[in-house]
Amino acid sequence: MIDFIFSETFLVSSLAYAMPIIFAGLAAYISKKAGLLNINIEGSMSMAALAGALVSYFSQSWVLGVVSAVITGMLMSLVLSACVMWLKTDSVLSGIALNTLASGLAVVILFAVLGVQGDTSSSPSLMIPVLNIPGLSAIPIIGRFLFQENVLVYVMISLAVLLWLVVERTRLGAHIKAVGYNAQAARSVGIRVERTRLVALLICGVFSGLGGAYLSMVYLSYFSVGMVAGRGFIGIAAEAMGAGNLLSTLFFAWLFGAVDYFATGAQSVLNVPYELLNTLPYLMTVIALVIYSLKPGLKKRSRKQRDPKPVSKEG
Amino acid sequence: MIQRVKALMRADGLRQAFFEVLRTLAAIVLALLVALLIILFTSQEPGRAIRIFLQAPFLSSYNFGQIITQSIPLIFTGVAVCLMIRAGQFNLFVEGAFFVGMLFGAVIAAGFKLPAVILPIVAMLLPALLAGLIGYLPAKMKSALNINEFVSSLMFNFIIFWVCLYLLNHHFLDPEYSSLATRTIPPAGKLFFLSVTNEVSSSFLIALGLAVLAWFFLNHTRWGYAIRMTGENPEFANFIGINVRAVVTRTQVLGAAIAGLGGAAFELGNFYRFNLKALPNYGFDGFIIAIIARNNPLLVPLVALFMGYLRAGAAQMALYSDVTNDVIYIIQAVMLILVGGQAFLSFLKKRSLRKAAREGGG
Repeated sequence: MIDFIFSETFLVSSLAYAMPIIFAGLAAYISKKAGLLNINIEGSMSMAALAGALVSYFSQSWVLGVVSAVITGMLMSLVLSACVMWLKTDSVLSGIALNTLASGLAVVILFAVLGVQGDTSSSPSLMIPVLNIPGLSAIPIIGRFLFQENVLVYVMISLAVLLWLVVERTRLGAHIKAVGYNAQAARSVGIRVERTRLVALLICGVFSGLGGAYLSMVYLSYFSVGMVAGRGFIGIAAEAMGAGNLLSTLFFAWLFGAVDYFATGAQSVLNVPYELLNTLPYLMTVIALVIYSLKPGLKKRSRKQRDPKPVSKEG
Repeated sequence: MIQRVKALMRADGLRQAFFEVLRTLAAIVLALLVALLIILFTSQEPGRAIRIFLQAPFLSSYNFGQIITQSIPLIFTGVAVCLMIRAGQFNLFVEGAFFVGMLFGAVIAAGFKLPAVILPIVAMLLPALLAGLIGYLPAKMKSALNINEFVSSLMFNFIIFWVCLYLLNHHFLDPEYSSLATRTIPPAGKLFFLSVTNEVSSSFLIALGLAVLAWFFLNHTRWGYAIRMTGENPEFANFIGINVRAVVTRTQVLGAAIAGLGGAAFELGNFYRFNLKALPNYGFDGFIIAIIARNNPLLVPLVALFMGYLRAGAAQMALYSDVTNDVIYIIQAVMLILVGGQAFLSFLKKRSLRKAAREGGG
């Protein structure tokens, strides 16, 4: 078992399983920075996965598939912003509504475009290729992990670095954090709260879109209804445990992915029914939430962050 | 003087209620329009699909019964969510609790040897108890550790779903049946039909009774008062001596138990075996029902029946045209966004408030 966990396969595959959760975690990270609990990441990922699958199948271009998935994610964010800022619907309610909308719309679109129900496996999406750097990828253990990954892995790493730079080193990032910390105070010093939130949500949409594209164009070769299976929510949980820190968010997202991979991989090794193994990622999330909340030092810090929330809600 | 103030307040309350009714109706109309537009774009013969969708529930006795049958799970989960939102808790465990109720209702009714009247009662109360017990976990996590109940309850839904599926596949399976299902519920374990022709079961009466009971509980008991105070202003509730943490835990356990009871009642009333392979989404539906009913349990059956009508129509539309019944999720989503939107039609409210101010002579 220990050998298994420290093997090259485990390193590579756990990342492959974690990628959708990592994207969801990044999406949750940026929306949380702007003071929004965006539950709609789940639904956005589903719609983006559908868009990626359909567009890549019809255009036979994976680039177009990814682009349309990202655009779909941003569109969902735009709709969410309209609900929250324009109609002044509570963000959690809007999230639930849009998730419901996404699950209904996905089936309707699937049926209208392809005349099928459930999934697009009859018209498979074009897969996003793996980028292989010859020579370097032959290095044992870390070679394949670092130099023979899917294109989206490199996209994720560069975007994560970019995201960190934007949040920590730019005016926009400062504005987003100010809005998230205290919207009224931010408004009083002349920051355009609505516009800043919109930008943050659009960035969030990009990550949800990439997560969706990964699901239907890398993880599987088709879209299926319910394929997100709570990964968006697990990403939100990863962000909650990362407590506003990008690196820890990434770490927890990867950890949940590793558990997910373990649950799948162990099905052929361990004599445990697959139904029970399937509970592991969710169980792990719950346990991690409990452990995190028990740590007194961390809790104090997060409470300080939580305090201004009722104020920011009004903005 | 006091009487005049009271009269003014009553008039204002009425105006408020009228405004809310207007907003809800507008939301319904807009949501239906969105659905009709989608049908128009996706269907080969949209006119026929729309006609079936809106007319079919009234065209046959069976279809009419479907309006009521479809509303039953929505009433249960809607009432459960109402209580929890009133306490300020966004807990979605009703989804998992309802699933637990359905599975264990079927298993207990098929497995226990008890006389006719007692068997269904036991087969409803035990699943309710079980759902409440499981619901205690996310509830306690919220009240004791301040873990967001929304995320944790969602995780619990997935865990419960897989555990139930494991139990179904390995322990509760009927080996003699052609597909994956529990054993047949014997007649002694079933809830009787109110009308045999359209298969409306007496679980509808239980649902209605529960809605009235929940309304009474919320508005006329000390516990209900504690729940409302906790939801409206936890700090103040704490100040006047309400044990906020206990209320938060209790209310979520109660909600889970109601959902569990509902799952069992729905199963015993309308099915002969448990054979679900996915979560039926009634928890999220309940959330939407509760919001549209303004978290008032008495209004829940009304909203649920309307949704039941849409579902009955959509089911017929899916059968006899080329539109899937998932259109109802789009309708529900639009309604939820609009009804939940404080800014939606708020200009009407402002106008009516100005009018009230003028009439009040102030």
